[in-house]
Amino acid sequence: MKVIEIKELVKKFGRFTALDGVNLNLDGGEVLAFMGPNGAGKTTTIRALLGIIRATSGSVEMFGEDAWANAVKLHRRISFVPGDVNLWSNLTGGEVIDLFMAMRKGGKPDRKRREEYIQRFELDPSKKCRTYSKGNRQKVALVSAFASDADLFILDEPTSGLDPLMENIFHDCIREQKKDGKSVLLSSHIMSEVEKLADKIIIIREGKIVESGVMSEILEKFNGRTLEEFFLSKYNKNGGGDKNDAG
Amino acid sequence: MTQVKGFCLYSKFIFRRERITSLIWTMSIILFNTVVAAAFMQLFPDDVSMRQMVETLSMPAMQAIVGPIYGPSVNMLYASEHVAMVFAQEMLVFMMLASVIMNIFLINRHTRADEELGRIEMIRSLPAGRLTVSVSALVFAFGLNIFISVLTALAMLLINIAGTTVAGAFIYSFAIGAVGFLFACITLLTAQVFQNARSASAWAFALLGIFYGVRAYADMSGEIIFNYISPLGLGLHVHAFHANRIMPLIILFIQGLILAFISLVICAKRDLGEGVIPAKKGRRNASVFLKSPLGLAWRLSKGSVIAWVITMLALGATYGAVIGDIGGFVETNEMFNQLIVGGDEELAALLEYLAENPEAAEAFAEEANKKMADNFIAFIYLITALLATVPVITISGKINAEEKRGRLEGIFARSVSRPAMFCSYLLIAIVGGALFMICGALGIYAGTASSGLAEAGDLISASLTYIPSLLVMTGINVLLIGLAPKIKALIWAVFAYSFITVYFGKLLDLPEILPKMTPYGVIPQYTDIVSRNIDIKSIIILTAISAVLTVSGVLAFMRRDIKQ
Ligand SMILES: Nc1ncnc2c1ncn2[C@@H]1O[C@H](COP(=O)(O)OP(=O)(O)O)[C@@H](O)[C@H]1O
Ligand SMILES: [Mg+2]
Repeated sequence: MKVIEIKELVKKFGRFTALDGVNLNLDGGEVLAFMGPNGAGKTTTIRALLGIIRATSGSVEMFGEDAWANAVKLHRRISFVPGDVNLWSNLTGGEVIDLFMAMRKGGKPDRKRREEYIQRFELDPSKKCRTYSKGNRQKVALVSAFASDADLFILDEPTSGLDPLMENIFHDCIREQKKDGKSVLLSSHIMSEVEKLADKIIIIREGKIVESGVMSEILEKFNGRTLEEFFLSKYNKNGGGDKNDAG
Repeated sequence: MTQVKGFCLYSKFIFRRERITSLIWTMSIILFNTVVAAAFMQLFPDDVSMRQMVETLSMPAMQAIVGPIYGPSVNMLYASEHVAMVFAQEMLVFMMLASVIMNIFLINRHTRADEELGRIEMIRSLPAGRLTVSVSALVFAFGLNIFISVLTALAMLLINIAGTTVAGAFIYSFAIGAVGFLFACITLLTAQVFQNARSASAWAFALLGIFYGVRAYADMSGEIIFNYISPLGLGLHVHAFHANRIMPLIILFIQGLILAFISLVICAKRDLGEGVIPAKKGRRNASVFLKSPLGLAWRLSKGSVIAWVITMLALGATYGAVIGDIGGFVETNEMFNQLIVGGDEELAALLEYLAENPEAAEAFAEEANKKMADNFIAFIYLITALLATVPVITISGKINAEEKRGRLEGIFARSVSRPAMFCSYLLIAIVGGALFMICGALGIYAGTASSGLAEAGDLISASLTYIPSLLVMTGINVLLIGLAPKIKALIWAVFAYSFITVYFGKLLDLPEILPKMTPYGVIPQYTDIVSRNIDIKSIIILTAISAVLTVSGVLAFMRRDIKQ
């Protein structure tokens, strides 16, 4: 079954068209890298998936159900990490993690998993959020995401504040989740990260999907060129979407 | 039901977040009310003092400020058993204002402010309904208002000032809560309409100002119908400790529910992060002006400068309008008498002479009136100067606020010198301070235009003589920021000292030396200006002191670390 199925998604903000007929699919057990230049529409797509903004037209489904209408029910099965995490300054990291986990389960959060991930990300949960650096705030979101038993992870540039060591731990976490059959939508700019983790890639530019496919095939097709060169050609206005570019 | 999924948990969470802030608000509101009520007991030892107070309250200008007078139809019928009623007539509107301010901040903090910061996005990515946050915040506000109302009522019953009844205490207290809750709902609506927290709260406050104005007009003109438009007017209409009407409270509650319902419908339908009114497209390029330190400082202070200009105009006009009635105030109100005649032997003698020789009234009444007006205006100026100090302190201290938020590094990493940035804020603070004072003067002039008790020239010069006071306060602030930013809050202690000694000095008969030790006490007063008896020395000394303070502060600021 499709975990995510977006068909012809259009999103307009007033007169501005942010998404212009986006199609995106994610099958169970896959890691899909969602790439594109700044302002291409990645976050907007993810917000439509989360059911916090409404599609102007087209359909957005998760686990076969409409993402807007069934948002609450669907969110039991997903975990989301934004790129820019803002927390309540006078609460501790531990308190925020507990809140997030409790709101997901409605019951008692899994203390063991919580502790495990706090250890792994080397987070001090007893500090007030106001004292956290960007990376530490990100860790709070990551811990609460991984410690909960989700089927789908939606991650919007989740490593933007992490140091390389923590990045590696994050990569391990993703691999473990994948081994457990979980699916991941990973919006990222970091080539090495995408290369390591992704099964499939989808590239968006100016609200339109300009490329999508299986990672290994793309690497094969662009034989002789680095992934980075390939991306740059897709990101670039003149080169993007031009199949001949494959050379 | 799925719309409010997670309501219980999130409510607990709001409770957790609010335990300090809301507790402080609650305590302050209850304490303020109780302390004033207790003071009222002492204020009216006999029926005569009571009647004088009622007479003061019945003046149109006074009704415009505090609300309608009700109770016995003839002043002579007021007796000491009416203390609670007179207390309610004077205090309820202020208590409602305090409660409204608390509710506006409370709801804005949990709705649009959290949304703007991306916190609600995190919550909504969990299995939480679209309305969970709004409904939890509103229910919390509802509970808090009830809590405050009940405690206020119990405190009233406990101190039991003459004329307190159970029904009266509860009606009075629930009027505070009901108006507060209505504004919680109004703020929930503005939070849906506007995209950022600043606009949401600014519009809620603007509505508060408009509603206050509408009810002031209604109470002054006697056109009661306007009172039904304004929630404040409606709240005052309970006539606590007299008619004890419950209907206004029910209407307020229903209005609140309707507004809450509309807000929630909008909230359930709209995109997260959007408002009904979309944000304006910003400028593509910075104007030439913005690119300079001064331009930046102005952009960051513009809002508060404009708000204070309006406040000062309104304040001046309000006081100015009362000046015409000054004779009546002095005669009937012990407090005013102390304030205006106290210390002025010449005026006291004149008034006494007038009282003893009514036939001389023709000749001297005008002179006495003018003198009283002058004394009163001098007092108004002190208040105006003290109030104008608040924005002057915050604007001159803005560089420190920016530093704390980590935005100053980015500026100083470029080729902007520290004194250039600092002095930009200082320039705006000082020019702003002068502007606020002048606006106060213009307000007073507008207010006295009909009575002709003051001349524009005198008013403007008097307002400008307080600039050295503002300069000294700025200087202290600058020195603290430069030398010891950790204890920079000390400036507010200086301010509090000045405020208390200057404001209450005469009322409480404090030694004259206490206010003289503040920058406000040594400046030539309005009365000195009218009599052309201006002591230029103090102006020069204060200006010199402020220059030394400011220069040392800026120099210290240039040498210290910028916090990150
Ligand atoms: N609420 C909004 N109102 C207007 N324009 C928006 C809004 N949200 C996003 N946009 C615009 O939509 C485009 C896509 O943004 P986004 O999805 O955040 O890009 P990114 O791929 O960098 O995550 C950008 O041009 C952005 O300015
Ligand atoms: Mg983005």
